[in-house]
Amino acid sequence: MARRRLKALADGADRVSTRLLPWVVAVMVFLSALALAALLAVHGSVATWTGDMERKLTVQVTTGDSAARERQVSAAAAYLRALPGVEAVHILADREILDLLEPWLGAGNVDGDLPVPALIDVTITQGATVHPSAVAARLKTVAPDASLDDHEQWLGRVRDLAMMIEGIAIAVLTLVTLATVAIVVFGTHAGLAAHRATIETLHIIGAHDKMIAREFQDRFLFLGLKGGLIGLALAAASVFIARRIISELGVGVLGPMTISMAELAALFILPLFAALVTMLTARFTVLAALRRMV
Amino acid sequence: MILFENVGMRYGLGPEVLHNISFELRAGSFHFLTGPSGAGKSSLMRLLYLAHRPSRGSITMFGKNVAAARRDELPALRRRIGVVFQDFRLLEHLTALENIMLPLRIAGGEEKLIREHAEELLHWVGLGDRMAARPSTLSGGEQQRVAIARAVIAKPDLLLADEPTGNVDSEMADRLLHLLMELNKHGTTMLIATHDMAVVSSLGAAQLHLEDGVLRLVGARGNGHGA
Repeated sequence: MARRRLKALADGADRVSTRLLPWVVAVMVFLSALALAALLAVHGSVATWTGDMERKLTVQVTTGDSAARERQVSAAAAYLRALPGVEAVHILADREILDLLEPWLGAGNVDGDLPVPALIDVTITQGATVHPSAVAARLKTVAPDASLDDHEQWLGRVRDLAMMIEGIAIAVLTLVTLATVAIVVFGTHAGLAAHRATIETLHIIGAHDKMIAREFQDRFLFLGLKGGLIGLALAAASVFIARRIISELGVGVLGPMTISMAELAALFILPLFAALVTMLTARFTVLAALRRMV
Repeated sequence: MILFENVGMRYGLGPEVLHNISFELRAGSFHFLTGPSGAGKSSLMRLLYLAHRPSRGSITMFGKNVAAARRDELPALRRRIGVVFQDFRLLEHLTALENIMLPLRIAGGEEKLIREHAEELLHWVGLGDRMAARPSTLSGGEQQRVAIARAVIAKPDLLLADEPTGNVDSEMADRLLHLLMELNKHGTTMLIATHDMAVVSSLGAAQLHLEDGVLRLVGARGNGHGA
C-alpha cells in the first residue's frame, strides 16, 4: 500500500500531555548523557594512567657504599640500555630524587645528607614485551643491590578502583536508561490518551490500523527526537562547563578527562534511542487500542 | 444493499440489546430510524457503521457478510459509509477544511484535488468563509454541516446520520434535511436516526421503528423497502 499521509495530527496543536513529552524525554536524555559522559571520562582517564605506568620500570639500587652504588648503577643502566624493547633509561640525579621525597617529608625537611637509594627510570617501547622477573634476575648478576619494581601492585589497585568506579557508573547508566524507557513510555501513553477520540474517528471513517499507527509514530518520533536533542544539548553544555571548571582548578589526579570524537558520537545514540522508544511505544499503543475496536 | 437477518447484539457479556433484527435497505432508499431513548437506535447504528459485530445473525453490506468478514476487510467497507455522529466527532485540532479532507486523504488521491473538492463542499454547505475555523469556534449548526460535508465527501454508498437536526433550530433543520435529500437523489442510501416525529412525517419517508431492541414497525412508504 502506498504511504499516505493523513495529516490528522496538526503540528503544534497537540494536547498539553503531548506538548510535555519532549521535555520529559529531554530531562531523561540529559541524565543519561551525563552518566554516559562520566563513564567515558573515567574510563579514558584510567586508561591514560595505567597505560603510562604499564610502560615504566623502576630500578632501585640500595647500598650505603657510594662507590659501589655508582658502579652498580652504571652496570645496571648499561645492561638495561642493551635490552631489546627498552626505549629510554634515565638515571635520576640526587636532586630529582630529593624532589620526589619533598611532598611526603615537607618542603625544607629534605637535606642532601639523607641516605636515599639510586633510582633508574626505564621506559619500555610502545608494544614491546619485557619480562620483569627475567630482567630482575639478570639485573642481580650485574648489580647485586638492585631491585626492579614493575608497579604491578600499584597498577592492580588502580585497576580495581577503576573497575569499581566504572561498575557504579554502568549501574547508574543502566538505571537511568531503564527509568528513561519507563518515563518515555508513560509520557507517550499519556499523550496518546488525549488522542483517543482521534484514533476512534480515523478508524470509523475507514483508515487502516497501520495507516493510523504510522500517523502517530511519525508524530511521536518527531517529539522524541526533539526532546532527545534538547537533552543532549543541555548535557553537552554541562560537560563543557564542568571540564572548564576542572581544568581551571588544575586537579591533576583527574587526568585529562577528555572524550574522543567516537565517544561523542556514542552520546548521539541516546536521543536516537529515546526517539525510537517513543516512536515504538506510540505505534504499539495505537495498534493495541485499535485491536480492541472491531 | 444492506440486509439484516435475525441479528442480535450485546455488549461484552451483557444482556442482548437488539433482538432478531431483520430488514433490508435497497440502494438509493431513504429511511428514518425512530424509537424512544434506550430503544437501541445507537446500537443499530454502531452495527451499521461497523463499530460493533453482531452476537448472532447475519449482516450483508455491499454483498459482503460483515459478521464473518476479516478485520482487515472492514476499512474498505467503512469507506463506503458516511457517518454523521450526533456529537459530530470532528477533530478539534484540525480546521473545518482539514476535517472534511480526511476521508479522501484516507482513500488516497492528489492533495490539490482533495483540497479543491473539500473547498467546494464547504461552499455547498454554506461555510465557504469558515474554512480555517477550528470546530470549537463554530456553532452547533456549523459543526453539524462540517460533519455532513465530511460524511459525504467520499461519495458514500450509505449515509448514516444520528439526530442530524438535534442541535439546530428548525430553519437549519429544514436546510440540513433538504441537503440530505439532495444527496439521496444522487443515489446515496440514507438512514437517519431521529426522535423528531414532525420531521419524519413531513418528509414521509419509510421508517424503521425500534422499541426495547425489537424492530416493531417497518414503514414501507416512499422508496424504502421493509422486510
